Amino acid sequence: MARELAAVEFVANPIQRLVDKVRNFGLTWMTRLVLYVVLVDLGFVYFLPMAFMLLTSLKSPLDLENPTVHWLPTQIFYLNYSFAWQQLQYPAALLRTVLWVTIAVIGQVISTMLVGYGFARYSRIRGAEVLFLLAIFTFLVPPQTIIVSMFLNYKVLHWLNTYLPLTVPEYFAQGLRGAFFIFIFRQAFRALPFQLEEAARVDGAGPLKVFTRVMAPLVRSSVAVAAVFSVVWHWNSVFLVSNFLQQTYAKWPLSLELQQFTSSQLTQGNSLASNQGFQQSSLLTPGSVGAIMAACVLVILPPLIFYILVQRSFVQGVERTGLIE
Amino acid sequence: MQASVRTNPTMRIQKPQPKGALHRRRVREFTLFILPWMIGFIAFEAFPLLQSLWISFASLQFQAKGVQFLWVGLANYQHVLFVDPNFVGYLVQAIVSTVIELPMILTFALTSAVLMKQGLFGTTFFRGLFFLPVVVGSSAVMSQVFQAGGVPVIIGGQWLAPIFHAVGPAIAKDILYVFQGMALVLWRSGVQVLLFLAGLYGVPPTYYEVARIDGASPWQTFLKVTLPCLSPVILLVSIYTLVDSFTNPLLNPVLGYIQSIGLGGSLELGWAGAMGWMYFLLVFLVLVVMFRYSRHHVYYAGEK
Repeated sequence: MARELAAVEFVANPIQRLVDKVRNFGLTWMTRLVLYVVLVDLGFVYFLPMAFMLLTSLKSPLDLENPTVHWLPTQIFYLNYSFAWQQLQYPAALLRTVLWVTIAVIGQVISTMLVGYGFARYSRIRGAEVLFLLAIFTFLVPPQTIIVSMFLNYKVLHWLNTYLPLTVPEYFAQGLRGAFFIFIFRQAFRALPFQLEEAARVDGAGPLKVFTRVMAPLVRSSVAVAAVFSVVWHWNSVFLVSNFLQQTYAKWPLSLELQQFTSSQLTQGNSLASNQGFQQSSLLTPGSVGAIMAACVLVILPPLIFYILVQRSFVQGVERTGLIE
Repeated sequence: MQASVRTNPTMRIQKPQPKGALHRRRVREFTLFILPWMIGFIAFEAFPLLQSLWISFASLQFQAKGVQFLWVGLANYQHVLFVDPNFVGYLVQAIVSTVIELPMILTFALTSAVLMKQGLFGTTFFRGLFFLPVVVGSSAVMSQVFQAGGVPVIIGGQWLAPIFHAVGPAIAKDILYVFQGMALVLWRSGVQVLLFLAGLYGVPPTYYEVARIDGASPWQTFLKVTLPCLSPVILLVSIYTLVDSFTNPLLNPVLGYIQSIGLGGSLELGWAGAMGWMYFLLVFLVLVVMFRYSRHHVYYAGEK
């Protein structure tokens, strides 16, 4: 109805329509330009440190000490990367980290989705709000303040120096910022209309089937967002990992290897390099910034690739097929 | 009176629950869904939380038979409130900086998300760029870049240098401070931008179509369509930002202080515990108030 009326107006006033069109074109062109300038400006704040990191990782120690070399290295110095690769024990540590993060993230996303759905759809049950606020409270208390008790708890369970304390809680909607993911899914499910669910229930589907078949596919973009955050936070986590995996060097994920590498670079420098049989790297001065930056690039590259792969599904709109609103 | 009951949404929520078989079934379903969280909470969270609560009422004593905790009642709390010279000052500092940052981060994140959704050329590229603070900001990589001398790069010092020369060192310091603050806000907005972006794509396109047909201006559409549909995400982002700025051990002065007391040389665990609990209860109170307030202002399509 509305569409027909609008069409009639357009036909009735062609000159006005032309004027509008010209004005709109000018406006959109101008706004686009302004938008670009703003976006590029903001992007610069994020882009520059990354460019700095990437370019520094390709600089030789000579370039780093040369005051005339600002941004571009005079020659591409691969040795930083081969040194960082060897010191991080990259292939093995990468495999360990990918395995652990994958298992933990799958558990965290599925369990927090179930719990978030429960809190979203049954919020009128007495006590539901209180339990939800309790969950939020656990999000509020940073692990730094209760680490001693957590440590004792896992010691009793004989879980220390394994990946269990970093994986099992994730399957029970806890773990790294678990309550935040519950909150993400609660908000996403609450924003969906009831009709689809009710239709499925009338057709005889049980609550779990409604959840897996009808509701879960509708929050795909939230799943992608939660998965991205979960991957990144697990990938970068240092505090809990270093407390629970203290002595087991052979099990360390990349985040700890990076920390170890940078601190050893800053303290030992040359002697470490020569110990590892890196004769060519006698060029590496103690605390070589180039090698540290190369290690940083190696560590943050995998989550970046993961993000580029999933970001498409992240912005998929919600399709409410078969729903008349 | 009757009319107000019918129109006031809060009154409707507080309507007495039906106590029939249907209600029991719903309670059973609810329990089923949140069971994983309940098990996880009891197994992994409850003990550490309760123990730290207990420690806040105790004092660590080094005795002949080893380390012991002695019950001291409210002494730790009294100490923090009335003797400790730093706690209240740090608390005020934390609150002030959060109150200033929260609107800045929210506005900036929402604006960037809206800009990125405009379908400009290179949106994918910008989306990737705005993810950098999420992946880099939360890792040790960032501090390495800082140490390696990436700081002047971040605050744009090189470009501002001529201006600093022109205005003199006193004013230059203020400008630098503002820029540093802004750069920090930008770097802490990554998560928020992505949440808003996903939320924006969740608004049904039909709503925009209707608004366009009805002749709404872009600004009206933003106010009347985008903001209400986004309100659940706005609540989510506000709570996240608040918790992040109150509990980030690197940025928050109170947490740094608690850690220095608890894990520093003197190991005053009871004192630190009392501080921690008072602090978290205070922040929790703020969150509860926000949740209460949001009831009237957040639009959930599932609860029409």
